[in-house]
Amino acid sequence: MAILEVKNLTKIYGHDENQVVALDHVSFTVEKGEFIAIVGSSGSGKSTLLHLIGGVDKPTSGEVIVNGQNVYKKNENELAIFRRREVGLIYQFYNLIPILTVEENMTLPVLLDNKKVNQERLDELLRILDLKSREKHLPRELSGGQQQRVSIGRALMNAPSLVLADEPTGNLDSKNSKEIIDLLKLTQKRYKQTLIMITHDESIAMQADRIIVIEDGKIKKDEVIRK
Amino acid sequence: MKIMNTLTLRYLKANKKRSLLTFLCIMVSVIMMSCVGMAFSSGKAFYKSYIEKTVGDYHYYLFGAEKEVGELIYNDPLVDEYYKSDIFNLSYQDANINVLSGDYAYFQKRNLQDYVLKGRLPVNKYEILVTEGFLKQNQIEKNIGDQIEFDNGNIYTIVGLMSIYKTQDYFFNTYQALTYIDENQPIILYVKDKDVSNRIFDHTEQLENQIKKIRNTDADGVGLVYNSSYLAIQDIFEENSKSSFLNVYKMIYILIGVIGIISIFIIYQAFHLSTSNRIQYLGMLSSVGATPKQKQRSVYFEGFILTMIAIPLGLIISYLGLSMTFLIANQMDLLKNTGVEIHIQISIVYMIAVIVLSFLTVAVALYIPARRISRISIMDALHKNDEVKVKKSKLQLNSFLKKHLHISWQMALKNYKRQGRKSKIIIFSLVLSMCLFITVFSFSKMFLRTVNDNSGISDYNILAYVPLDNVDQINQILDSQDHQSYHFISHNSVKVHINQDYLNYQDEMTDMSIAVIDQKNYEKICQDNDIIPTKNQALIYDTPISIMDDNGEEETYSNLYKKMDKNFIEEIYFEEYDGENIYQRQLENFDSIELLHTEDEWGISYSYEITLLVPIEYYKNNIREDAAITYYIQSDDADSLCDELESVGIETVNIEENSQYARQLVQLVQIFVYGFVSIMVFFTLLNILNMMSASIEKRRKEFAMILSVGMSYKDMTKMIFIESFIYGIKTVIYGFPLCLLIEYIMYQVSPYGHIDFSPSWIAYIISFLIIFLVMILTFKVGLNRFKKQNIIETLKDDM
Repeated sequence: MAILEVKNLTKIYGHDENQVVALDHVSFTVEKGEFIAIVGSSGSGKSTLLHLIGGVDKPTSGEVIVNGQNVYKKNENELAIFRRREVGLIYQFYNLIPILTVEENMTLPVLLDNKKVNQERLDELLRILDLKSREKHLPRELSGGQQQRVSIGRALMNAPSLVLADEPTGNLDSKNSKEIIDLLKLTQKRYKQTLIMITHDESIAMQADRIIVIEDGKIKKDEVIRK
Repeated sequence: MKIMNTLTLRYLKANKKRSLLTFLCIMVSVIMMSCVGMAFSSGKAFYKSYIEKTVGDYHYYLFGAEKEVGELIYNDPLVDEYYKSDIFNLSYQDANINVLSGDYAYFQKRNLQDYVLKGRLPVNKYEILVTEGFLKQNQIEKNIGDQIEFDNGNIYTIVGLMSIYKTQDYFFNTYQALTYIDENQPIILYVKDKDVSNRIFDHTEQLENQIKKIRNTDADGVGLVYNSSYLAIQDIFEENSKSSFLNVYKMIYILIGVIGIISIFIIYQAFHLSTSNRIQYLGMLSSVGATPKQKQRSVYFEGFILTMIAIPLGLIISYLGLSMTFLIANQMDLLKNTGVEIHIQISIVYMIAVIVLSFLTVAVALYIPARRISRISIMDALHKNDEVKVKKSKLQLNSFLKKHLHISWQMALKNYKRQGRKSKIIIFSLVLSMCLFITVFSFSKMFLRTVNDNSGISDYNILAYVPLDNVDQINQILDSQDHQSYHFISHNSVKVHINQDYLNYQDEMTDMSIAVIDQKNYEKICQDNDIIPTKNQALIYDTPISIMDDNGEEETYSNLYKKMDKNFIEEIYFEEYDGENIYQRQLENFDSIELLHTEDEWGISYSYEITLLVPIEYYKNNIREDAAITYYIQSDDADSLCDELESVGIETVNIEENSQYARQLVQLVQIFVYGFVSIMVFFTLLNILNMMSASIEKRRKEFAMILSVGMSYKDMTKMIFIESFIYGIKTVIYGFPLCLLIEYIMYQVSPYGHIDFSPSWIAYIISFLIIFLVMILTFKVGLNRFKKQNIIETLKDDM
């Protein structure tokens, strides 16, 4: 069953002679539980595509349908709730809130929903992400790898059906990078989530189920690696 | 929602400096609004007590009130209380004595018991108190219990000795004797109504009609005089009143309005900077699911928290500040001697209004930043990309500038241009700061002038009443002593026949004033107008005249004269009363009549009729012999000079003491006003500091990048200086006409709208200097701090 459908998605920046077509009528579908790697050169439109799927940017035209819902037919409030519950975004530069602790950063989507934190789930995530001893620390007291784990924890807290990772290892050394990828794969399988990851690293891309190559805003190649 | 509030509170704590600046902006706004109200109501209460002590707490008085008029008042159910007095002269073997009489209520009101040195107050009209001085100077060997017969045949029993009683009302009269009121004679009846409101005027209108019936006359004027200042201080004004209190109220409303508008803008700026600072957090929150409303509410929550602390603190600081100021003021001689203290008056209604207004101010100020935050795209927020974009063409410099300007100049110009709308907001903010300062400066200048004018301060401390025949003698005495200055002005009324061809409008104009001024100033006026002084000339100031028409409407005529020469006045008469009849005595015609074009600095011309200024010789030769001229003398040793003048038979009034009171009163008001101006200056500086420091913080990475590619600190400092200079010049260009306009509007609603407008140049210079100085200093301090940081750490630093 397709969890994600992207139909003729287009994003254009600027006007007239300064126009830049970041995405040009991109269409594809993603099945539930797939691990997809998106690769491409700098400026090819990978991050733009991911942001549009995650509802953090607005397309010029086209549709994004997640779990049967057209994302861009939602109003601002509904879109925010969508980002909170349906999607988990992981950024290259972590984007943690520096004045919130590890625990608070991770439980942010739940707290925004005014819901009670599922302590069991939190403990489990902290354990899996090896952050148990750091839950009261602030981001500045953590290493890059640890911060990225917090970012992963935040993305997974509400058990979203779709996890989007924008070069999650781009800012990490090789050791940490491997650990992060292993964690993502683990949590993907464990929580049966669909993972779409942007990466420059071929070795990481080869661990995915499917690779989509983006070039000049278009899908150049869409290859299934493993079924 | 809880997490958003927690986040907001933590952000405020983590960014103490920015939060403090924002908090200070709100608090100073609260202080200003509450201070204006509290100081004004305290001042009113003090002034009310002062009037009650010096002038009296009556609402109006009736002079020449006969017994029947008295009965009218005594039986009037609308009257709360009344008391009676009278003043007259007695002479004892040609020695004159001023006598004050009153009833028991009057004695109490005036605390006359305090003036009794021996004996007691009189209880009937046959008893009298006199001063020891009067008895000694006139070698009257009488004691308490003795009878004294005055030249008019009145016999009194001396029941006590008193010290000289000097009134503290508008006339500064002195009395050497006190007796009980004679109700069979017309008296002065002081009345206080029960209903202390504008209905007093309805009541007095009824009274006037009733008095006219009693007197069987339709003539206007029944001798009713209002205690106008006392009524005004209780906000009771006649219809179409021109009271200066109303002008003060207008000025205060304008001031509060200006404070309110500028507070909104400055607080808006503060929150704009605060939300810009945390835009990345808010973008992040948005990316994980915070709704636009949640983000908006977090901005309002920030405002709410800061306001909740700022309001009570601001009110407390206002209260304490004013209380301390009043405490110091009450130790001053002025207040100690008057026996009236100033205490802080808090109107609960006004305080509630300040609280509500403060919340409203903050809410209005927050509206735009909150909306902006809710609308900014997540990606822009995450990349801290809230900058206004300008077209590339706007950033271009022409080739001449590119060729001849150093790179630091070019970058400064481009930096300024790239701000786009932001630079306009910065300049607008600076202009508003300037306007706030100029408004308050102008207000305080006019307020002080109003207080000055109403305080009785004058440039003289002795009044001397000099008969015309003694003018030369007195001038000799005064001219022989260096340590004083003097002038005199006297007016009288004349009847004239004029030549209508000389006027630009038709009016018979039979009434004019004739005025005389001391010779020195008369010659100066002639010199300033290129006129040769002669003995038989008249000078007329070319000023507008307001005339009441038949419908009671006042119309002002300027450009009165088509031409001027001696033929303007065909005949001139002086009216005299010989005890039975009024007759007109013709005066000498003038050899010349000239128009004066300089300012009437002595206030010689009346606004309702033409005034002829004549030399002292003409006045002496033509006006009646027994006329007296009032001399206004400023002396370093008022007491000695009074003695000297009195020794040659000149009646004097020494108002030195009262001038001192008045000067101290003005000093007291100056303390408040300048204190307020200081708060204004602080507020405006805070705003500039806030903006400039935020600007530097935001551009840290940019500065680091510039340094990393090789620009020196010296060139960077130059670049910043040039940017500040551009902002400063633009502020001056826009601010100067706007401030002039505000000052002009304030001036128009003040009581001085008829005098030539003169801008407060010193205030403009001060505000320009302050703005430039603060901008440069803030940039410099920020840059110095930045110098200490590691370039690469700054480049890496994201949040």
